[in-house]
Amino acid sequence: MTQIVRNATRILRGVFIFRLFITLFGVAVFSIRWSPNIPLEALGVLSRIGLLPLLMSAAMLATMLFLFLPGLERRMVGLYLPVALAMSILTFSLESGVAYLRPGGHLLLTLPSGQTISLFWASTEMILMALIPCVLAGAAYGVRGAVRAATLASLLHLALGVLVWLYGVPLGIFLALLPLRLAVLYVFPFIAGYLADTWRREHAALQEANRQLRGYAATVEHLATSRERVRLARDMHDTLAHSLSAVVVQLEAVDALQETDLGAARQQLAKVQQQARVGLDEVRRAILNLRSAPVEELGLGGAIEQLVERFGQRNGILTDWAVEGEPVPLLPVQANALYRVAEEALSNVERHAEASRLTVCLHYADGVTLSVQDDGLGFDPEAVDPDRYGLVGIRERAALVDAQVTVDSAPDEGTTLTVRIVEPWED
Amino acid sequence: MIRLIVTADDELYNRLARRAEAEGDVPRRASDVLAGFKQVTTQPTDMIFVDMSLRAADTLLEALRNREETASVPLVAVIADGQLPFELRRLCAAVLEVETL
Repeated sequence: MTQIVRNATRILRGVFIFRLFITLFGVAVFSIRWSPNIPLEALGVLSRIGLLPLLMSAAMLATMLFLFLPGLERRMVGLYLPVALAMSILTFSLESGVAYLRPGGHLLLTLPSGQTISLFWASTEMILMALIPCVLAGAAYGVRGAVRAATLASLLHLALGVLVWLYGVPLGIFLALLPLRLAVLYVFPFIAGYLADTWRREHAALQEANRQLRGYAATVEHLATSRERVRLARDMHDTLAHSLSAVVVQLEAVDALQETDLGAARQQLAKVQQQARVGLDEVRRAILNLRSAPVEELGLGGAIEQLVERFGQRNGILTDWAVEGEPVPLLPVQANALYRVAEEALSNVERHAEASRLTVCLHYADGVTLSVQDDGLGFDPEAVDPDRYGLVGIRERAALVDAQVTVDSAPDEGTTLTVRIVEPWED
Repeated sequence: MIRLIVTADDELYNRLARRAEAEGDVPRRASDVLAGFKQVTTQPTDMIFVDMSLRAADTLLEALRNREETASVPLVAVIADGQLPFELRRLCAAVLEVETL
């Protein structure tokens, strides 16, 4: 709304600059040469219609000052544009009256080159100028604004009609054109106002929908947080609280036994230690579940590197890890799938390969290729059950992200698994 | 409404299918993640139940969320042991535990 009002004000200023330019152009042409066929009687007519041209000039000057005086818009805020529109309508209506009172409607100038120029605008053209503020009123204030502005323009036009009649000018043409002019003055601003109102209603509905959406999003977030809290509480109850209460009960038993049966007390103490370790493992697992996914946290390269490092520490196998080429961004689903494939492949090596060396590489060129190579027992890919070594899972996972899987293996010659995503794409 | 149930477990499918029918919906089955993915992308589906004990079920959830045509279909993860990593949990409209069925 504010932006429309601001734009309407700018357009109005533009119209007056244009009008000023036309006037200056006319003055410049006058100063070059008066045409011999300039109807000098035109000047007589101007003097005969008396104060009207003076009024018009004063209205024009006042409107220009109003539109271009610095700081006025800021001070008048909401009143500024309506006043500016009303002054503009008045100015252009007075111009229309002056134009109407001149014989022939046009004041013609013949240039030294012989070309003829219309120096002042005709009455009808001035009505069209008055139409501009009416349309702007429709755009800025809707149908109501359009009707008010058009009514003001029509009343001023009728008043001018009465005025020129009082000056003795016949009203024939004026009355003949009146319905058309009034229709023009109402129809175009009404269309602009109607469209502006429709836009405003849709804008308001959109804002309301946005507000509701923000509300829903907040509710969903709140629900997700609550659900996570409940899950966390349940996890703590099922793991930590359960283990601690068992430890407490067992310690009480140790306390009771240590004076009567030291051997049984020691056995009980061993149980307590075992229980405490179980509890510790459960808490660690719960904490691990709460952490964000490794790929999200470390990136694909970092996450696989960590996987390989832990694999080496756990199994005492020599490990090599490399990233080749310039990494390209992958979709989270692709990066996670590659990470999980690496996880499954390493698990296979750990369980079946009996390898002494493992090489994992992430190679970026025409896509991205993950390769996991071991020097272990190997197998004949044609001969094994397709579901063995988790290969089906790896293939399914790869297929979901349009990746290609190759297994290169032979008995006693180790295994190389490669997974390639041909066209990585960004979000 | 059509509910796609992605599971290899007959008993789990029967339980979820009975529940769907009782609630006036039509159950449909896919026995592995690739079949499930194909069905969702080729046939109209209003809700997807994914048995998280299936191989690559996690990638299925992410792949469905990632594709424009399936991103808005509600996903329900069906879990057996009460554990579903948070990054997968947040993709789902709901998480069902098998023992509550």
